[in-house]
Amino acid sequence: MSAIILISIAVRGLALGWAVHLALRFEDRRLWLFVLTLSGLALEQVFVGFGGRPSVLLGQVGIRADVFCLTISLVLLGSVFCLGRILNEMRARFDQAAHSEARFRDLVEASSDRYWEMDRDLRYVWARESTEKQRAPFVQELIGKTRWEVYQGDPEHDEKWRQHRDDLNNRRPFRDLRHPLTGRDGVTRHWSVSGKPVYAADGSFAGYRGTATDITLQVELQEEAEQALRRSEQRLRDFAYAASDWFWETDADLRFTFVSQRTETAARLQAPGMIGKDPGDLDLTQTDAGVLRRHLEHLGKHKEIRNFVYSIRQRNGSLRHFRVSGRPLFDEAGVFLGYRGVGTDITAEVVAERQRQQAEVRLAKSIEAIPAGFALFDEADRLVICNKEYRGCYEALGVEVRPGIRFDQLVWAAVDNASIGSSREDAELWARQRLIRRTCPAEGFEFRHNGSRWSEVSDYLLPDGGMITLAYDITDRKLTEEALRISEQHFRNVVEGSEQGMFIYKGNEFIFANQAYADMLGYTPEEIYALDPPYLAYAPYERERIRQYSDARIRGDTAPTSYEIDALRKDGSIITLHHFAKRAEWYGEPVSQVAVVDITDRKRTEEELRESQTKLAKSQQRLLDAIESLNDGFVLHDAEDQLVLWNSKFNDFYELSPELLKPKTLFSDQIRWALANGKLGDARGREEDWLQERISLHRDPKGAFEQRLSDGRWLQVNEIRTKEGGIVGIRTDITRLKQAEESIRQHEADLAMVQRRSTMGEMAAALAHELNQPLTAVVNYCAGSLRRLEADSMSQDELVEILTTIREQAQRAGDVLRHIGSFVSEGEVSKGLVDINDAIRSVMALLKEELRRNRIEVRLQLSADLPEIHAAEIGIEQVVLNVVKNAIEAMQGVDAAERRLRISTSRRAGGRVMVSVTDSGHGFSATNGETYFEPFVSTKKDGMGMGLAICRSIISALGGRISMRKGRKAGTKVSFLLPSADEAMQDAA
Amino acid sequence: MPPEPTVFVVDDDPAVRQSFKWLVGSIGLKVQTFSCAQDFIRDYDPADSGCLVVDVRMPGMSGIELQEKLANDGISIPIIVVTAYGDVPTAVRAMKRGAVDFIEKPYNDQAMLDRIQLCIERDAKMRHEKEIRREVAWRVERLTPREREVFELIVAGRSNKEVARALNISPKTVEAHRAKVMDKMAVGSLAELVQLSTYLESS
Repeated sequence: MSAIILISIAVRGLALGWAVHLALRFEDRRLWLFVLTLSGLALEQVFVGFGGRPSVLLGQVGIRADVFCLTISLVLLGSVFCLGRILNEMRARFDQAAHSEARFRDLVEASSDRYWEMDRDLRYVWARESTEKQRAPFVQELIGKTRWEVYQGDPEHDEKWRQHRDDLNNRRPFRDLRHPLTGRDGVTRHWSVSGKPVYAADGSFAGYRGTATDITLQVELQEEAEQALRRSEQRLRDFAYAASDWFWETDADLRFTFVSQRTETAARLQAPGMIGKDPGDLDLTQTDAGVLRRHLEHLGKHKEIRNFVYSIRQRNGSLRHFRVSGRPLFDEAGVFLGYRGVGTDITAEVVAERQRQQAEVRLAKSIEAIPAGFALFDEADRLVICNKEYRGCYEALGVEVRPGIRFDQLVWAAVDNASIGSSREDAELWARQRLIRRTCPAEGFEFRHNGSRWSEVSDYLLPDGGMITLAYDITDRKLTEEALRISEQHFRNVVEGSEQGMFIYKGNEFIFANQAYADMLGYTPEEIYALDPPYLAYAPYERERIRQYSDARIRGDTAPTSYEIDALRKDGSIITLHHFAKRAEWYGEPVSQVAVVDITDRKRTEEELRESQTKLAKSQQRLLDAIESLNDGFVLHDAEDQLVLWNSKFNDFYELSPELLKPKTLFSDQIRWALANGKLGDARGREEDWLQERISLHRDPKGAFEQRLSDGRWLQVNEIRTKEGGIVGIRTDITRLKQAEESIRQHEADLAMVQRRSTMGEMAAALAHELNQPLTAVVNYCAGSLRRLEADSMSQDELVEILTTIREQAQRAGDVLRHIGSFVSEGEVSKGLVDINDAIRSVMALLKEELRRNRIEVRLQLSADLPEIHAAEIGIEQVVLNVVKNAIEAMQGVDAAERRLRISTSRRAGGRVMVSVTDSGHGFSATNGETYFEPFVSTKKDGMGMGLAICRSIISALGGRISMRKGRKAGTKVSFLLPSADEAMQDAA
Repeated sequence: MPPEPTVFVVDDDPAVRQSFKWLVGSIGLKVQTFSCAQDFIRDYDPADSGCLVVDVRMPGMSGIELQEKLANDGISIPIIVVTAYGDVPTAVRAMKRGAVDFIEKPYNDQAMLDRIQLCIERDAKMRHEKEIRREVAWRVERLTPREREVFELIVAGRSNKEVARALNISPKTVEAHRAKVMDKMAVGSLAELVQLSTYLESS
């Protein structure tokens, strides 16, 4: 092999190594390609260098050289690739560790001035300054030196060093070890060093690692501060010296070592004399023993002295007072060095204070001497001082009174203890009022507290805004007042409850009035008091009098003590009062005290008695007048039927003779006289019976009855039995009433007449109709025929026919008249046996009312043994009815007393029956006796003249006979004779 | 021309009926007789003109009752009530109830005939008026409500202008309505229209 080949191989190898380095460095794939190429080139050179022998060798074993080369290259390439990866990873880790270390160091260096490391021999192997502090030479001084060389301490004295040496030897960490270090340049710097032992991975001690901080500046500053402190102390001394009278210092044995002096006090204190003495040498006999003892204890314990006050009697005998303060002094080791302090002469202060205290005591004593509760409050209303009395007020309420408490706190505390008023609400109200009063103090006021105690409280505002409160205990006064009030109440109760009115009057006002008095006047007592002027309670005409009396009484002049007076009630009525007045004292003032009795009733009773007597007389007269003025006759008979009272009207009726119109005349005598003198129309003809009836009726009145006097007057007599058994008789003239009744009756009769006339008229109308029918036909035929004949339109046959018809109609009219009776009893009426008496009775029953109305006296004289007759009963009744009605009409012009109707029946020979109807009427003229039975003949002005005609036709139809003649005295008698039943039957047959 | 007027006679007495027929027949009037009121009511046709002669006194329904019945039924044929003596108050009552006439028997034949003539004439006139009234009512019915209003205002004497104002329409329209009214009411002049309006039942 030639050297050139070797060089070539080497060059290519180097290039390859460089390429690998670069590839690793930059981790670029392209670099790896480059490496591959170079490796290939290097391998080729190797092959070239061995002159193809390898190829031959390879060929021998059957391997192609180029393939081998390629394979080897690939293997190399993969190896290199893997190797690159491994190298790459290793490098990353290395970088990480390097970074971490760097970060640590940076950290350490940032926090301290220096970072250092020592090996296991405690020799500095690394030291580095923080970047900004360039003290490189100093650092360099450390490297290679041991810790002992750098920090040399004295093992005998230097405790720190010993400690440090132990720490290091025992491989303990150490912190903030401060020590100076003088560099080669001679400058001493102070360091604070901290360190920690470091161990290798196998656990063996590897040295220390730590930091060092240059604290030179701090140390210097500290020294400066200490100097400042020392200066300050000096200033303090100066200050103390200035603030106090002197400054002093003692040694540890409390002997004065220094006493500053101020010129003006030095002489007095003889301070120099104190040097070398201890306080015990001072004459402190004037000092308070307790204070001195505490002072000595403090001194013994080396405690601070504060404001120790002591007194020393001067040579001139005066006491001087001093106040001393001091502090114990210790050296660094805590050994007591002595005291240092200041002293002040406070003699003037003490004297002033004593005087002030004495003044306060005197003030307090004088306040205490005030008999009332006294309290002084400042402008903020806080209690400054109060006396026991005042305190006692609140303490009784359970409230503690202490200076500084505000007034409202006091009040509310009292309220909280619920000892004021009856309830919490009352108490609060009281408290508020109390506080309001205090804001504007006026006169004092009273209040009750704690149940039974009373206080009167006054507030006085002071010019400086403070306030003085005075509280007097007025309980006793109150009790007295209460007793007085109760006694007065008793008095009032007695007076108030009195039935008798009482009042007290002070000339111009009521100062007292009791209920009874107020009741008399209709007022309430309060209203009485409110009367203005008070005389309003009296009648206007009495006011001046009562005022004069009262004024005189109050003046002490004499005034009436018992008098009647009219008072004016609230409702305006006047009452009479009797006053019993006297002068009295009312709270020392003269007043009128008056007892009052209401005598109105008594007066009224007297008045009424008088009045009633007058009234009685008057009323009696009035009664008589009234009786006299009656329109009716009045008469009173007593229980013995003797005349008591009558009026003139009574006698107007009877016209009794004067001797029968005297009291005690008997009623029976009076009535007999009247009867005898024909005064009584009723009694005519039956005087004795009437008299008996009348007397018995008088004794036992049965109500009102009518009495007719002879002169035609009618009386209504109403007799009533009185309670005393007497008989009051009232006679009322009812003549006019009677006349009115008569006219009414006439009217009724007229009505009946009209009614009857209308029935008659109806009958006549029917008759006329019956007659008119044929007549009308005749007229019609005639008129019709005449017209036809005039018109020449009528045949003879027709004429004959019509004339025949006319004759028939004319005959028909004649028949109507001929059969007037059957016309009246129209229709077929069945005939039978009739009891005439029954027929008469039924007719009378029919006419009963009319007869009564006409006051017609009826007498029936009916024969008991009448035979029955054969007739239509209704026909007989019609005849009787007609005849009786005629009779009633005939009697209307006759005096009512004279109206009499008699109906009699009697049996006649042959079984015939005679019926007679007799009246007392006006009768008829004799000349026309029989003509009345003709139709249309009447005695009556508006009669039809049909009644009796009909009667006759009926009776005649029965075969009987009817006749009329004058009565015996006056009037008319109508009789009809009816045939016996046998005769009638034979007729009918 | 309405049918021949007839004298209706109601009387229970055959002689009276026959004689009356004879009398009325003598002046050539048609007579129809009935023996009782019920028969007349049954047979009478209200369209028949003429008059009724009725006797006040009859069995069954009396003349007065018949007159009342006819009045209630709205039959307005004139009635002559024939009365006799004593029936005067009854007759007066009948007069008050609206009977046309009454005459007392026995009567003067001439008076009776005169009354019959009078009643027939009155009946004819009444029937004629009724006819006109019905005709006018029928014509008015044909008017529209507006024409009716115009009609009423015109016959009340209003001028066209007043009608127009009252109905709030133009006089021309009124004129048109008026012509229509005249046409429908079949009249040629306002006077005729007013005359016709008097036949209208007051509405």
